[in-house]
Amino acid sequence: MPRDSIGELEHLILLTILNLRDGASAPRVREVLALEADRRVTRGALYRSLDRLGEKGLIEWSVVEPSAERGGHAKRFYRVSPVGMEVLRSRRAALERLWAGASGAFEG
Amino acid sequence: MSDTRLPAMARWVLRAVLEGDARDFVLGDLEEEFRLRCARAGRLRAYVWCGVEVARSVWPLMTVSGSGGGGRMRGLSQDMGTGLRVFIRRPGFALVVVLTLAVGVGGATAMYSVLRGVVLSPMEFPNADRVVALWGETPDYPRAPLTVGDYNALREGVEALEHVAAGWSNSLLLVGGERGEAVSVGWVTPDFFAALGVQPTIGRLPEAGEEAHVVLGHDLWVRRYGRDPTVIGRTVDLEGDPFEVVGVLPEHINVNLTAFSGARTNHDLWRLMPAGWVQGDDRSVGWLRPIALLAEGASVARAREQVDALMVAVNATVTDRDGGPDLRVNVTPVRRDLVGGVAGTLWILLGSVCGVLLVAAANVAHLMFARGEERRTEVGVRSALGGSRARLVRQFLVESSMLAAVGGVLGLGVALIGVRALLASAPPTLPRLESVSIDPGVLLFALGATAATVVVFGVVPAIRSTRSDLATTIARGRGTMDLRGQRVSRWLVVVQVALSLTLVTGTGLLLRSLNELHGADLGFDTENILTAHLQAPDWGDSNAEAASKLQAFTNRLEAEQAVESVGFSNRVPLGGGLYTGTFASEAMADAGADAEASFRVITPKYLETMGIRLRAGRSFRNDDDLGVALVDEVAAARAWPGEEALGRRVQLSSIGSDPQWAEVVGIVAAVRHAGAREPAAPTVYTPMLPRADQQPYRYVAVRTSGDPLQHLETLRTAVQDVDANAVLGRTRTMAALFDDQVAAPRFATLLLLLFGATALLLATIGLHGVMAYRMARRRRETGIRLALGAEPGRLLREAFLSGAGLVAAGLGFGAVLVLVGLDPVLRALVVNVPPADFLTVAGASVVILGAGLVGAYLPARLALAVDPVSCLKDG
Repeated sequence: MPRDSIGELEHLILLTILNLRDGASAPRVREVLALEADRRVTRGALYRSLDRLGEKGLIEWSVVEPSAERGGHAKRFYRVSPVGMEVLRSRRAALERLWAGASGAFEG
Repeated sequence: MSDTRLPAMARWVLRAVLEGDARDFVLGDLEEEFRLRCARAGRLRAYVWCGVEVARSVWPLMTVSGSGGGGRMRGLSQDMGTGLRVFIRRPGFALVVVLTLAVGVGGATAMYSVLRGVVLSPMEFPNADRVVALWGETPDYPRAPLTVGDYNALREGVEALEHVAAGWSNSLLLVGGERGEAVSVGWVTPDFFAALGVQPTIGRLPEAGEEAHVVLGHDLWVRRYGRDPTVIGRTVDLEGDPFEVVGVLPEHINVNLTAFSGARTNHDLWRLMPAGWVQGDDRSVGWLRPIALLAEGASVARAREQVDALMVAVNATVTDRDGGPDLRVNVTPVRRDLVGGVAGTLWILLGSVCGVLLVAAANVAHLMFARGEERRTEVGVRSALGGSRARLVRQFLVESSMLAAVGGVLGLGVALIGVRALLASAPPTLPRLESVSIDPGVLLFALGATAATVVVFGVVPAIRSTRSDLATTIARGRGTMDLRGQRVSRWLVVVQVALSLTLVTGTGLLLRSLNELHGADLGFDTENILTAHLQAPDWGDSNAEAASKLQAFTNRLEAEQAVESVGFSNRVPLGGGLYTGTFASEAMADAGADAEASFRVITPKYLETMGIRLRAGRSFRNDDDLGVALVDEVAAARAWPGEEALGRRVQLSSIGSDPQWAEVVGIVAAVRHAGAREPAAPTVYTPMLPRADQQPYRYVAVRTSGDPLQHLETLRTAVQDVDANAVLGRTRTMAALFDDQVAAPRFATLLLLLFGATALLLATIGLHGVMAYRMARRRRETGIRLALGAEPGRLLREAFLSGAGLVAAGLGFGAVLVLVGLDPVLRALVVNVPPADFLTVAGASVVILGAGLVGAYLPARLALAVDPVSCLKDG
């Protein structure tokens, strides 16, 4: 699969991470997906998608040291990588072109 | 904070499916959210939420690769690819596992399908759960029809029962159209359909008082009237009387609730009994089969209490009743009443097939376990290269799941074929077979069985195999198996042998019992005899005319070349139905005593036709009057113990007629009218010709020179030569009637034979597997001992004895199972064989010992064929 090939859920996750800026932890991404995009995904499906995005190099993350609230476990905050930004840009351009051509269908 | 820590189970599950960094932050995220939930919604809700979260995420998480570090592993599809390669490398192993699972799961599913259809599935009419059957119980008859008097007492005196209704049935001639047809008629009281909650599919039900109206059964409507809806309002002719059709019952609903003599026929026609039949307190004949609807909110237990109390009061006022003054009325839920007789057998068969499933699961578990042991080195190397334990467990689990999935699908195929085979070979007396099919419930059972097997054979060996590290694995080399592993393997074999012994013993007992049934002397012949219910609408106005007509039928049938002899009787052996009365010798009559007997009313050649042996005296003659009788050996011994019965006078009294004296002119051999399971009842024979006009039933028995069914049309034509409206109904050969008798035990025996053989085969494979595996593991040790000069014979003996020891332990354990478990279970199924029969247990043990020793010997021989040099080099 080419690196820049992303599914709809992956597309939404990338946008959600951008929306969340520095606070994009997995639970927050899941919350915002449900609130803003009406997409309810299981915890497992979300981690699997994040995992794939990571493998494709579209996202990166920073790790916050373990804390007591998290039972001594570390936390990841995600951000969209430069490659990810490029993919989003080209996806957006494609969508805009298609919308421009299709806008007639919504007039009148 | 310790009380809001993530539940241990959730931690355990996530640790098992994830590794490295991924595991760390996924656990952290869940823990953080869990604490928030605890604070917001309370611990209980947080626990439930956490359980659901984990359960829904396990599968997707299993396909999450690890962190970005060196431990990145392959995904699920790669696991499956690896599994596939492993199976292709060792196809024999995969094949044995998959086939074993298919046989176990398929067999269990097929048997459960039959049990579910016959015993567990809901009955086809609305009030089924509230309808009860009311059968009388006397010391002589456990399931007796009730008298009108007792029926009316129940109608009025039991608060817990509403709609107490009764049924009766007979066969009548439906005349008109091209040909007369004998139809089975259900006679019911007006409350009957209301009790069941059944409504007709078209038309209506007859109302009280509408005695000249009938409801058609669906089959008759289709068969004779081609689903014509205008049949409503039409008049049909039943033996000369006109009846108006008012309704048609729905398809697939058999409202005949009384399987009185074997098969539960669905009646062709339903009509109301004349009201006068069921009025008053007559108790001279028990003929009604009552049912009732439990009142709203009433339990069966309460109805029983009230019926018992009522019957105690009624019995106190009754002096003369058919069946005796001590009558108990049993309140039985109708489903149990219908299937109670076979439910036990079906549960036993399901238990047996589950035994096979257990043996199969044990086999698979052992094979997987042995594979796990064998792959220890591979596991050790992979661990050393960074494969985590969770990852390796996952690999094993995926492999087991693949095998289980294929086994489960094949098992479902086996189940589909199995159900068809079971239906094809099921005895005709098995009720509700139409409800049997593979349905979602059965499918769930199959999947549950498969999943359970996966857990047993997949996870446990996987965890065990991954417990070792490379150093210990390599240090142990391929030389020996750890002690715990050996213990598990041995136990599996012992359990297999024990289960096999139980199944094989059960099979042996049923085989012996079936043999007893086949070999029993019934007192009559079963070959080349056809019996039929001869019905004619008109038998004349006098006994002379009826007797002459009976004689005409006899002569015309005997004129056929293929017919050797012809006799008539009011009942035929194995045909069901009771007609009883009392008899007394002069001495008994003087003392006011009598004894009950089955009364058979016969024509002169009946005994000869049926092959019933005459011990002394003569049979009837055409000119005999009612002053003569024949008694059988059992009745003779009862009335004149130790004395000559021939020439004595006997007083005969059948219900509803005055006692009459007759001379005993012949002694007849005992006949088991009800089949080999029942002892021969005392029987008295009286001549039919002097009372030819008073017979409600006239069964004809025809002995032919070959297969009687080949001459059936000739016989029908012959009968119609005498009377164009006469019909031969219920035509059965005696061989077929006998076959029906043994069909149920034969069905059970055949199935158990199949299960027993399968279990034995699986156990042998299991033992062979254990021994072969042990021998392979000890190849190096054997090589060293041979090199050091050990005697091959001694090594063989040692290896062989260790296998034989396992078989012996299994047999001992199995013997206990047979005594404790099999004895009470099989007691109801076997005839004339004690359930813990020593010979059978010993025979089964020998069979299993033989199979087991072969399973132990072959691998032991193989082990000695090793070349000491090569195995030392290998090591």
